Amino acid sequence: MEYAMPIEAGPECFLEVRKRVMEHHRRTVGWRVLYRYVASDDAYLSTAHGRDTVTISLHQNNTLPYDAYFNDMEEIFLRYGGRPHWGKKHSLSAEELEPLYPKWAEFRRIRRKLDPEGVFLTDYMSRLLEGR
Amino acid sequence: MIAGSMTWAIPGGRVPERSTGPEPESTSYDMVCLLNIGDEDANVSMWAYYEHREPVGPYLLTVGARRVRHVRINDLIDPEAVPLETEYGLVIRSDVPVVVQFWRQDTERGKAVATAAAIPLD
Repeated sequence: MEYAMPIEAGPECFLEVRKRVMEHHRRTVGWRVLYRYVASDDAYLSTAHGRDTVTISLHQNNTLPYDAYFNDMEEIFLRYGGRPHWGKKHSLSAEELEPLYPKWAEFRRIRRKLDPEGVFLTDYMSRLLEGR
Repeated sequence: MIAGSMTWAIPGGRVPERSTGPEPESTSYDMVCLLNIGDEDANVSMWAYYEHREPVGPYLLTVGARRVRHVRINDLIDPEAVPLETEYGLVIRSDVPVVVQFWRQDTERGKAVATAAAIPLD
């Protein structure tokens, strides 16, 4: 799981993540937490759209339980205005994603224009982008 | 000169969960120390054995010729991180003779260090 927060929120969010890991997940999650910076850009659905960004990444082996860890930590990221990494685990669908992206409506208009029949929408992509 | 063995066991693993003091130097850990005094690199595989599940491994690493390598168990993540505060044992195999020592730093109640030679199996 990886979330992208506004750069100003990074340190406080990280400290809260760290505290939660130490108190609840340290025993069963051996992986480090990664913290990095990303410059703002203007891609419509970029996790760094319109804001300098900090990303915080969580990892767990896929042979070990991860749901409880990720679900517990995701709540912290969302409180800090986090946007989920598009290719990693998260629980959001279109309804929750739309408010996070100022250009969401424009992206959706273009996507629908270019793919009116939904040829490029899988079930998962439909849930992410269309909310159905 | 051939020094060491090619198969070793460490039965008494348990990475302490809690730490006190400044990080990272005071973080509690288990560590394996490998010494290769030969003229060939040692290709080492380690397997972790647990109380209630099948062994996990191999953890693969190399110890260069005429080199020593200290590996914190806390840092092992591939194929799986070793859970803290959980009893485990290690079996360590090398393709050339090496010497293996076990090391633990436990800072939960102040700094305590314990060390023991691993047990050669061949």
